[in-house]
Amino acid sequence: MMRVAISVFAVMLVAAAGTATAAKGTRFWNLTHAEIDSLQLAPAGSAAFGENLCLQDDDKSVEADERLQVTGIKSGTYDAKIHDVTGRSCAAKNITVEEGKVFSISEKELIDCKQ
Amino acid sequence: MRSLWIMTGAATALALLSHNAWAYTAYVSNEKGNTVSVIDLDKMEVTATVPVGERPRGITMSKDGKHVYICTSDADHIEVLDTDTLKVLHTLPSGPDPELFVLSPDGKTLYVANEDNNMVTVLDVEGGDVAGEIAVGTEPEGMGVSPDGKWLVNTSETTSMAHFIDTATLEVKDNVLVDTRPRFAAFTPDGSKVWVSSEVGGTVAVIDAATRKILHKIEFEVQGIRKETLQPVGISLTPDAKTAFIALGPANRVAVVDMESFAVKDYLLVGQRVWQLAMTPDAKYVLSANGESNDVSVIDVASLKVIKSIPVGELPWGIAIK
Repeated sequence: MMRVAISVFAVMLVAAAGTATAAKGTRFWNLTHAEIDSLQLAPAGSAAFGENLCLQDDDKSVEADERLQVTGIKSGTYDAKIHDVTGRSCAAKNITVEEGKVFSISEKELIDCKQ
Repeated sequence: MRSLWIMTGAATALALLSHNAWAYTAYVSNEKGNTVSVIDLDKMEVTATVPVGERPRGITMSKDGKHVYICTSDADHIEVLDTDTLKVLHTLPSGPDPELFVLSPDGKTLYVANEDNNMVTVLDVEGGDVAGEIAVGTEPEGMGVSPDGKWLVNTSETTSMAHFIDTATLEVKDNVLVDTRPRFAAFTPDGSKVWVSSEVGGTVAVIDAATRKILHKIEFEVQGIRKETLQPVGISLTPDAKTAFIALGPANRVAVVDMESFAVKDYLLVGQRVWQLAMTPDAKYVLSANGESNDVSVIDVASLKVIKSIPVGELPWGIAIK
């Protein structure tokens, strides 16, 4: 009986956690070392970059380690173009986005950086 | 021959006693991996990896060492991990996005900084009830409690303040402006000062706990590293109040500071994006959680050398030691 109760508690915990994170929507997590003022995504392998997602933030930029809730992005694999407040522009490839979850770009994923 | 056996037995007993004294366990929250890595500090290796709720960050031990409390930020609650079974026993309430917390010296109350609602939750650990909420600045994070338990200091990232809270009345009594994005607060062992790190400001403010005046601001400089990369985050102070260890984020260094003169004595190279620190109870080692290199560095306090790197889960954030 105790084992059943523990299992039920574990299932409830997982379900509750899932509900909590889904309610927070799709979020971009800036794991680079700098504040980003432009983030554009394009379906992987294409050059069809969308709008600057940083404009969805109150102060139009995403600080290092900050998260930004973004809308209008479907689940899929994307390439990214980013620009940060130090003047650096970089790319990142094959970023997986899942609607309702967090996707991140870290410093070590950045390529082709130009100052 | 008999005396030889006695001596051998005594030596073995001493070795066992000494072994037990060193047998600490570290629990590391892995922010992206949604796990806690368990490190045997005698073997200096991970012995278990425990799945927990989403985005585990703040982590601390219960007073009796039986439980580990974990801020699971995306799950919006605190999880209680049993240190014997390594199972999550139950959860405790918090506000949205709990990031860091501190346990009162008597082990009965958790003060939780909730990043998303600008509140500190006061939690009765045993009953699991919220005993109060305290409005603070925007994006509260750092949490320190005085050794006598009478004062709580919370830092708010966006407001750039250290808030002094009376734990008897749960009222903010003073606000001290510090440099940009304060991340961590630690009282000195005698409770006379509070050290507050400011990540973007690049400084550590040493505040007089009685007058609430800033006594000194510590700055950092490492040859070949850009100033803006030197971002102080975690702080660990030795119990003899002689040495402070300051994690410098993406500079991949831990600064060693003389607590009397505030002079930086050394910069120790650790893993990448060093975040929080923890000291073993015997003050022999300081451990650093290195978020980008997914490892924990072990610093020997006596020699001020990094003696080991231990691979852990994805994006290690905080460390608690039993």
